[in-house]
Amino acid sequence: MSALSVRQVRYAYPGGPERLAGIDLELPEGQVTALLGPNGAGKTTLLYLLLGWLQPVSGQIRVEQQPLATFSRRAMARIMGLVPQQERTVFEFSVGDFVLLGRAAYLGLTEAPLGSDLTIARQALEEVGIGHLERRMLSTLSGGERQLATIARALAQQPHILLLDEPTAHLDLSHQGRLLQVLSDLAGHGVTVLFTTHDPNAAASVADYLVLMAQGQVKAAGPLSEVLNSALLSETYGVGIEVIRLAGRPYVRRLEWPRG
Amino acid sequence: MKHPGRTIWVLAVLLLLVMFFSLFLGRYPTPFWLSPLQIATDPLAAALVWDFRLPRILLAVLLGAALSTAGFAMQMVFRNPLVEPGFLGVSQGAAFGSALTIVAFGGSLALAEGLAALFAILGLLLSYLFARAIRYGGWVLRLVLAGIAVSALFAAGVGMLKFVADPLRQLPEIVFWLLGGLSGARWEQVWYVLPFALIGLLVLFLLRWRLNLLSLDDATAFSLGIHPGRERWLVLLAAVLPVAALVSVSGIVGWVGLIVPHFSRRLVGANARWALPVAMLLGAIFVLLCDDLARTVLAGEIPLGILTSLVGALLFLWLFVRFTPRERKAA
Repeated sequence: MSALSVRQVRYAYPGGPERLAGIDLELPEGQVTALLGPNGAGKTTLLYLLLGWLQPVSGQIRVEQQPLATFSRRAMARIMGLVPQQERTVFEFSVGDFVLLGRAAYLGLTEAPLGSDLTIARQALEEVGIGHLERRMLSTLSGGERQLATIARALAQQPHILLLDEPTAHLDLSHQGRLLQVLSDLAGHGVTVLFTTHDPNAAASVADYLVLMAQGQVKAAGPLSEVLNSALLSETYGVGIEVIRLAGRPYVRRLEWPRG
Repeated sequence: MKHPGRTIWVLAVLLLLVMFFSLFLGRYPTPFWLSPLQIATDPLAAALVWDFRLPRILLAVLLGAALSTAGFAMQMVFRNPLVEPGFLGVSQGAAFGSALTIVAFGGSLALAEGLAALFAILGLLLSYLFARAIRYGGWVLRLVLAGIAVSALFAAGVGMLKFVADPLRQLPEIVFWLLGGLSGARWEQVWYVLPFALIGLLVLFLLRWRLNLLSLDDATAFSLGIHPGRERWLVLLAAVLPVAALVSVSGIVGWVGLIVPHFSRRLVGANARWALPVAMLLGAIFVLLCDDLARTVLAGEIPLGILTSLVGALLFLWLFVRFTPRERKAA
């Protein structure tokens, strides 16, 4: 079953050149899918189309078999959560208050979160392993902890589908590992996870499915073992790349530095 | 952990106390203090308290609450802690309307107030329309740019009116209005301002938790299940209506809407669920105290706008010199 399906989606920013040219995609339910591609491939644009924040010029996006446009904003936010790239907040929220913002889709215009919302927010914090940070100020967290707090906020939406934009960018190796483990655990609990990355090894270490994008097009999509191969990656990134196996998982390494 | 609920109760009680004692503060019969006994015996003292001081106190409280709550809400929806409610052409629009009345229509009080409110709203509308037309930057930046331009246009208009005004009769009136003050406060003004103030403040109070969502970037707020554009407009309208009504009575009273939200966030943190009511109460207390000073310290009245700017700017400096960001993080 596919949680999300994309048919022939085209997108261009108003007055700009075409950014996505006829994307087809199926997102398998309860699995981790990595959207891999070099910078400027259109990964983030595709993510924001799936979210409904951008509207395709043509084509159709279906969420759980229903056209995306038929969902209300609140209904959509209960199905799909977003972890944006490098989110900045202007005001100093505590981690607990920040995660509670994920409950907005369950609250009316004039309502504030109740005790039951707080319980859910705390569960979300525990799920990503930072329950002890609830009372800290967001600005005092490390980049990795902050990224986990943002995931907790999305989990407080109790979504079936979680979209993450470059979640491992700017993280050190240990935080990267921890974050990818969280994604894998979430899929274990039935959440469909889609994350973008420009790092083939981030994709190789947790993804079940891989979508390879370049220049606004899907180059290949399928199970990780099929798509993650030397020839496809070398062509997409424009440098010699080799896929080897390391500790039972594929590992990607560069054979040469790019020329020119 | 702070206790935001307790802070709100303490401030509410404090506001009532300051309001109560302000009734006896003034320059009749002797400077500074009027004995409660005298109100019962002296009809002039009673009239003074009920017909002049009480409406003035209520207007000061409404003015402070409106300016600081609107400032707080606007800082959040613009994601910019340096925004204040006069932003978006509101203050300069009101100033233009009032100066226009004084120069062109001989300065009837009711007309000046009406035109000031009208031009304040017009300032907001023009800012909105220009923001839609500007082809540069995101929505927030466009509103800021449009607000600056519209304010400058109205300021130029005020300058022109000052230039052509009769220097003996009209010019002092314009200058006095621009300095801001509540010396003309009467019950009629309380009744005229009250519905706008109450509706605007009530809407902001009810929507206060949503303000947190609107302080996030638009796509993120959208992903959390809200329509950031629509809700932002609702908040702006609710913020500007009471300010336009009150500024039309008080003239330009600066710095309140900028400084009070900063203090309220320091007291209870940034979560608007607590910080907005704190800003509302703190603003009311601040303006009431400033107005008490304005009417008591000297034999003549000190313009309120001068005092709020003086005290506000000093507090602002103290706040940022005293608390470095590092100490804040450790707290």
